[in-house]
Amino acid sequence: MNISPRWQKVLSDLWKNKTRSLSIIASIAVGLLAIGIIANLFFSLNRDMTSSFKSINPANVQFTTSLIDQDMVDHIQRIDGVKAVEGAREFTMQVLNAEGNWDGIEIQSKNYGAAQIGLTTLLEGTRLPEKDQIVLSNNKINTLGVKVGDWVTLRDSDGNQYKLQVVGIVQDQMLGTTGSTGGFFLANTWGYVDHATLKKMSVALPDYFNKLYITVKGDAEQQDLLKQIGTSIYNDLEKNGVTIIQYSTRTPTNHPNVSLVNAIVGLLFMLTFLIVFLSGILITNTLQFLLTQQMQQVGVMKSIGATRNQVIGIYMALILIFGLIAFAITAPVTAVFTDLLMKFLGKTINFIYSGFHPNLIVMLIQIFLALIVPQVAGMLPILRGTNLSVQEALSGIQQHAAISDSWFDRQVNHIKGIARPNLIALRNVFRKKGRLALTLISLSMAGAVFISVFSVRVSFMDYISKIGQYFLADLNITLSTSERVDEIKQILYSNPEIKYVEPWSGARALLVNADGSSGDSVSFTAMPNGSKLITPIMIEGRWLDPRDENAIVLNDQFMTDFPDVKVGDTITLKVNDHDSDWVVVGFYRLVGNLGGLSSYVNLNYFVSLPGQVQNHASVYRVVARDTLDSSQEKVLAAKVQTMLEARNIKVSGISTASFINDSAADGFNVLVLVLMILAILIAMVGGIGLTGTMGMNIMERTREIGIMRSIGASDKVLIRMVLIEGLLIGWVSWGIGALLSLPISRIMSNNLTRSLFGSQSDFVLSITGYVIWFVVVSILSVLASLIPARSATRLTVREVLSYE
Amino acid sequence: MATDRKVSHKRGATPLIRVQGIKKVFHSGAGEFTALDGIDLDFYSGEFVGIVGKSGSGKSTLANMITGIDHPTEGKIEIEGQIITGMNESDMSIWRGNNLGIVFQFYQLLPTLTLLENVILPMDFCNRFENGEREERARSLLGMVGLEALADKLPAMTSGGEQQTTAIARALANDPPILIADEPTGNLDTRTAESVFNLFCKLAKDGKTIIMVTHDPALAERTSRIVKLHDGKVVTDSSDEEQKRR
Repeated sequence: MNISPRWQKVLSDLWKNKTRSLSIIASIAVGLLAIGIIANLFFSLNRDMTSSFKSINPANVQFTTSLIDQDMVDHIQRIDGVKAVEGAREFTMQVLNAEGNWDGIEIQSKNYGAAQIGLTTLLEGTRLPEKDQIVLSNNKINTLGVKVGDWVTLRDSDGNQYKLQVVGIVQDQMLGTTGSTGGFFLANTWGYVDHATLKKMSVALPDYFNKLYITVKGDAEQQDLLKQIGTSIYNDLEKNGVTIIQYSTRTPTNHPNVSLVNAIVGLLFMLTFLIVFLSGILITNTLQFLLTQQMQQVGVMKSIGATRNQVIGIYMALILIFGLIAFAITAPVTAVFTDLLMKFLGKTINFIYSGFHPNLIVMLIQIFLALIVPQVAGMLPILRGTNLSVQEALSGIQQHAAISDSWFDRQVNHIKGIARPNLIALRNVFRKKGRLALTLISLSMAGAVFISVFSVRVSFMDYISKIGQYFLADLNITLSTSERVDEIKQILYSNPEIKYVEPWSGARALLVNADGSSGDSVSFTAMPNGSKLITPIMIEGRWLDPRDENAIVLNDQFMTDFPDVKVGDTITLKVNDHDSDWVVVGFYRLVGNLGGLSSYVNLNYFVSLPGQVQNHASVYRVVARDTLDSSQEKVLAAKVQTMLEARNIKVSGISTASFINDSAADGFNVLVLVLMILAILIAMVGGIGLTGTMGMNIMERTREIGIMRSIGASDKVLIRMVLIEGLLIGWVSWGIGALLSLPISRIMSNNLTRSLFGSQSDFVLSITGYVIWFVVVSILSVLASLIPARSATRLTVREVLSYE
Repeated sequence: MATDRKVSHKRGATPLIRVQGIKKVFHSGAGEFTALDGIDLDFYSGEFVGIVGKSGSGKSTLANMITGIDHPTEGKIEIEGQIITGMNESDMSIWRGNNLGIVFQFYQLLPTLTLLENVILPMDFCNRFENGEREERARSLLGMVGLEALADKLPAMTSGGEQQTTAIARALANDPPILIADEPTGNLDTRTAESVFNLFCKLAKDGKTIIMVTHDPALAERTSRIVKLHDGKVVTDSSDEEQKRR
């Protein structure tokens, strides 16, 4: 024999009682896994999002303009501070999707062979399309149902159709960078074609560009520098007679979806500490179980010469080995889970995941926690267990233990009217109050977070549906040009399925700074006075009144970017090249950071401004007579398009209400998925804790069980008693967790929406979460009780009575 | 095998163990219970003492006092000049490991260690004998009790008698002068009990001082001295009677 018996005992205790060892290792591993995944995500998300966005050499300044030629592009190149500029032609078409409906698609054409700015990442095929070929972005590829080699059908506003072969699929991190089109999640599929294909599709002036992608010299991280250079370019373009439709700036490390990542990371950190705390409680409880089982052995060791310190050393060594094993198991599992999660997030939030890189800091954190937390958590049970006298340890009877006769115990003992075995089960719940408290803390917190996740999800869904209130129509029709309102209404009303039509209008608008220079782009929407098709979420002030003239309402992003602008202030916007003053009457909540700056004004006043055409509109919102589901909306959209094109009305695109809602939901589903994973981890912590508690409770009552068996209790009765005890603990924890979930879910929801939208959303409670957790905790309670109960009933009466 | 000696000490010799005025009161929900009510006893080197009495007479409690497993409410116990009452737990453990061997009714072997490892354990804790010597000594002890062939077995793989015999070997691991056995045959069948008792007799003959608690008067008769307890008091002590006879 090479090792001394006391260390042999450590190894034997580890190996011989595998169930117990696994339970302890699982308690430690759960906490380590959560910490590992969270810490890895924190480091990896920030690293990959920043570096992958930077790696594509994103445009620092973007302009959407009227058509310009190559000379103008070359001219921009020579402006002070401009490092590089690339021109592109971009416009909207429609593409036939897998269901046979027409979806919007953004077409881009530029010299991809020479392009250096805003590079796409090749996923499949080639990035360089040739004539009659198209490369597609991957963001909505599933709805198209195509792969490399397939053909897609595009349709322009004249109704002409073109078939192009898909030769590549790419990931484009530039989607959502302008911020004014609803961001990445609402973006259409993008199709990249070459110049020859443009010509074939009869695009007017195919040699001209309407989009400029510009990088600057100097430190592009300086937003002021970007604005300064952007303003210079803006003024120069204006001076040269170019109309600017949209203008935005962005630093090279500012990924458009970073706010979503910040929200995820913020939430994860909030839950990290909770998981470590719960894991610590779980470990304490489980180690208490171990020490309780070993109490007699502690007494024996002390009786044959072991000092208290020697016994403590034995158990500290055992815990150390548990911690090391937990780390050894968790480290690769952490890597696998992190890798899977990052791959999913990379695809969903649109960044390039560089692959799993073992992070030394994360590993050190995990090792530290694996070694230290169990020792700290186990210290109290070890000290308590080794502090008993030999007599107490051998007999299991603590001579000086207080006999509990509190008011609470007397109330419990006085409960009448239920069968005696069930009464015993009820009293058993409260016998070990310290242990019960620890179990309830971990299980209740687990339940509170689990329920809160559902409430947060419902709050998000509610928020999304409220966003949908901004688009109450079934269809949003965008025409290629403004058309007479009366004519369009006549066409649309000829369809008996259509109940109501409202003409809307939009314009390109730029903020005008105090010095007269042009600032950020603002999405500018003119709605019919008193429109019934919008129900805004007001934060401050009021919505537009039908009698308002130059009143304007601004979205929540304004409050973040321009905190000095208040209700009652007057702002100047350059709308369709004309400066106009607007009085701010209110702020509404939309999608905050994810959607850019937006505003609404009354249509009547808008059309009276210089440069506007009365009684014309390019956007029409349509309400159907019946309530339509998603597929029915698409059918109606197709009919409407046909009707309009039959009358030579060019349709740029028709979006349905469900498309808007579903797209907005995509981003939040990522968050909800992360939350659900954490909720499951937390539920596991609670479940393991309850299993340990029930195991300890049964073990301590083995003799009682034997006595009950000797006086007539069947296995069924005994198991039922144990199940009742477990279920009562589970249900009490459910009640406490349900109460705790109220503040916790509110805190979680507020933190998330503040990160995402810059402001709090309304909180909605989810009954589903309560019901599901009730079912889960009941199942956990049954499982946690069943195993120790069955073990106890398998012992013979003789065995249990001689147990001590 | 009965012992020949009924009296094993000489008048005037210094007692190995002195129990003076020992009182033990237990507190429970039902009130106080006096398990030992002023016990005065001296034990001499080489004695094989049987402590008898009915259930509740205080005999196991007395054994626990002598072994330091439990502490008296009043009184003093001195062993080989060392007052053990009032020692802290840690010092008591060390002293006990070196000077006492304890045999319990339910063997109390560590279940995850082999018989050999169980016997080595006290040497390990008390750092007695060189590392290499410990295994040899343990095998020798197991051989002495006839269990060398089972040295590498776990306790669960052996019979009650074999476990109790191993417990005796473990009690001898650090070569203590005193063995305290609390109902060592209480959980054994008659034949095995006889075999274990014979082992004690042999050890007594070899000079060990043995104090054995038993409820079996027949076994007690075979010791060299019988101390009878009743309701926490000494009612008879065969050494006193022998002294009177002289």
